[in-house]
Amino acid sequence: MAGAPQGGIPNVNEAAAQGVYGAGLGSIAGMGYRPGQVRAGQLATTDLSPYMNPYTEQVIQANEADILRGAQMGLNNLGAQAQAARAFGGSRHGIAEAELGRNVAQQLAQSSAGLRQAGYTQAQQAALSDIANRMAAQQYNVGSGLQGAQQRLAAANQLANISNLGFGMGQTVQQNLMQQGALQQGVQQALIDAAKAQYGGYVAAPETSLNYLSNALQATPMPTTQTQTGSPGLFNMLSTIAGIGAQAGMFSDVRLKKDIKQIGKLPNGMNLYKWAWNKLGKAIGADKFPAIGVLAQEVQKTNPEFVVKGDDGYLRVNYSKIYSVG
Amino acid sequence: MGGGGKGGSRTQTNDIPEWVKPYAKENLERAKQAQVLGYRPYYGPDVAAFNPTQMAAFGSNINAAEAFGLVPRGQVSPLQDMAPTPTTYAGGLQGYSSGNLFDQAVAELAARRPGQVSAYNKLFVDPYSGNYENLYVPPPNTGGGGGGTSQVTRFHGTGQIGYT
Repeated sequence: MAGAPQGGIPNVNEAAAQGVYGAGLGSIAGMGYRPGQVRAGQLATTDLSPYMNPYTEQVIQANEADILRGAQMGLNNLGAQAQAARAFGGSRHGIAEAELGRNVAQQLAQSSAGLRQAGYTQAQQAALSDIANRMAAQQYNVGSGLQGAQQRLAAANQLANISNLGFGMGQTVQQNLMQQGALQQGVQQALIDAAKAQYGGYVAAPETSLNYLSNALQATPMPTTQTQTGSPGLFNMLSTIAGIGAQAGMFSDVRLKKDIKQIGKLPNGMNLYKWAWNKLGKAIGADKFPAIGVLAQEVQKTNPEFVVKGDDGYLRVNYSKIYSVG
Repeated sequence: MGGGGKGGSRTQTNDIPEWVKPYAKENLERAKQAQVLGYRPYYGPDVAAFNPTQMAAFGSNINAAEAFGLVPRGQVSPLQDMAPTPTTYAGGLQGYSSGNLFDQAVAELAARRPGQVSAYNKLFVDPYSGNYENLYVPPPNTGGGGGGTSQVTRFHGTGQIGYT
């Protein structure tokens, strides 16, 4: 099969088809992407105990011990001062110790409260920082997921483009193959046509060879003998008679003729005769004219305007007028 | 040539010189001989076959169709519907000839209308033996016989042509 992979090069049609399929799957997956919801943490619902400093109480106790030790030292000083003044146990000594005790108690309370407040504030800030970090992490994860989906869609699109390119290349190569093959086939067909033409010339040679002699005979000057034979028709003769008669008039007088025979009728109904010239006719030279036509005496009865009398006393017929009748 | 007016006539005759007449007769005789040769079919190639390049293009097209699921795989081939296989002629040229189809058509005609084919064949020489049974009936006053058996002797072999 021409489309099978050859030499390790993938079949472009198969690759294109798989690419289109894969791009479709990628697009479907991209269309199905749903980003996760980002939930904001709340400090109010946050347990701060994990954020409290486990050493707060120890610090407070150490601080109280320091204060109490300082107070004891103060009491000792007051006692020493009162003993030196021989006022130990006196009222002033008692007042001084009471004042010291009140200061110490106040210092203890303020110091402990401050330390505890500092610890709580620190825990609260740590919790807020943790909430913010979780929020940022969620946002980052959502963003990463979206970016990944976009990358997959872009990759699917690229795959589709490459597949389309590959398919187009395959089609182009195929068309080129077709054109090349058609050219090759055209050459072969031309050879076949030439062979057929030669064969046609071969089988037509007997017929064609006949033309050689015919062409040679046609090209050779060859005078032909032309023989014309003919007999004049009636109208031909009458035309001739009319021509002659137009010049001199026709000797149609019946007195110049003999052996008169009717041979037909003219279209105008006049009788047509043939005859022989008699002596009178020959004497005046009528025998130089055709011995066929009409008789002047007959024409004179129906169409006297066609007939004239000559100086010799014989009647003549104007044949050109005879033609105009009928 | 004839003509003329009513009741008249005119005849004109053209005649070729005497020395031309033998050649004219010879040409007519040759035409008569060529006439009986009959149809000589062409058995060479008529159409060039598809070449490997075209077959590759066909294969590529089918493969593309298969790859995209348009035709079942392996069920369409470039050579399909291309029977019979092309014949290889001189020089390796491959092609198809209509000669066999022609023979088949003539045989079919002979089977269906034998009388007509027989009459047709008798107009010409036997394409195998070269014999010629002359059924030609010449026009009257030509001095030739008609309806008899005349033979063109040895069309093949000696190359001589003559009527007996």
